Amino acid sequence: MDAFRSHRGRLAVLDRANVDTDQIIPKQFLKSIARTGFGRHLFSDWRYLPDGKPNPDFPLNAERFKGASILVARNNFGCGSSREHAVWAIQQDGYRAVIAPWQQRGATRVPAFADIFRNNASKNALLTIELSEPEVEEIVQMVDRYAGLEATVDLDRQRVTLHLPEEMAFHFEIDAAVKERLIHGLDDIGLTLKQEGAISAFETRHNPQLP
Amino acid sequence: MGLTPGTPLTELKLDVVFIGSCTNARIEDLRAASRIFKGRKVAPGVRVLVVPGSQHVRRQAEDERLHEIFVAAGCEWRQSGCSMCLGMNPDQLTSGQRCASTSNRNFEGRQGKGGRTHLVSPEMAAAAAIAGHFVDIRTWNRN
Repeated sequence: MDAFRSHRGRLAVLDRANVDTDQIIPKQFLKSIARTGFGRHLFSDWRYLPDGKPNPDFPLNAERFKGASILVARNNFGCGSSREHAVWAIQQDGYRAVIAPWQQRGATRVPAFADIFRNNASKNALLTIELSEPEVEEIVQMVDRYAGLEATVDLDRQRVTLHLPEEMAFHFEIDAAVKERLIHGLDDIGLTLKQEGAISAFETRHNPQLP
Repeated sequence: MGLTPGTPLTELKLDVVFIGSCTNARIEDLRAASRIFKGRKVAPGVRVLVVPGSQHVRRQAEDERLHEIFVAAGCEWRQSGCSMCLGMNPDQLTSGQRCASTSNRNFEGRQGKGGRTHLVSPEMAAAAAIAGHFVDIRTWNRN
């Protein structure tokens, strides 16, 4: 897995809550046996017209978001079916991080990201950043005001900085174990292989005892 | 979804009824649906897919001869699989079609781009297939 320490890139806004994985990567693209080539199908049903041309009404097709690598979305992003392809599609279309707000609904805190999506993201080095609603609203407004606005995501310092004439920064919380893994680029296999010495020693000792 | 506020569900006509998915096409679901279909016919113009939740369920249903009831009513008795739960195969709604589905997900476009999905129980699905529109199974006349 690639490591994630810090990333600077353009922000793009998808101003919609509850974006589900069926929208992120529609089912007709799930039949591939490879883990590549999903990027151009990201948000396919919204992104393209029936004739295959880009839909001019879909926000992420806007010129001002071209080349963006940090996606700003609304609450409960990635809900729906558990498909890892959703994370791959977002990454393969050029995004390194997604920012979304958690939300308080009565006594319930609705996380910014659906659980399975968030977990899949952490195992693929796509950084998911949870901020409060007012913070995300502020970012959305700034992106609106300054076309081509860039931000730096600093995982080490847990900070998102908007590169405005006067810099604006937001602190975010992240699970310590997830942070550690992202910074060192360790997925589950990588984490296991950190114990390679012990595994080899065990195999050397254990295998001769087997008939 | 093509809905107008205040429209009773019973006025919504259906194009497709999907009785399937791993969550709601177990043997007891098929038994429940078959009790509704028994001795009745699917309304004209409604396509009904009955897709067992697994091959095991399919065999069990055939042992109980439930498939004969479905076929006699005018349903398609299909091999087990995901089918119209997500439409990875050609089992998809076309744009604007309205579907009563026993699957458990009604995300936009999931059953086919532009399709309109309503989630119902197997009994509600079967009764709707016969009526050609939604019904309330609690008050529907079973006799």
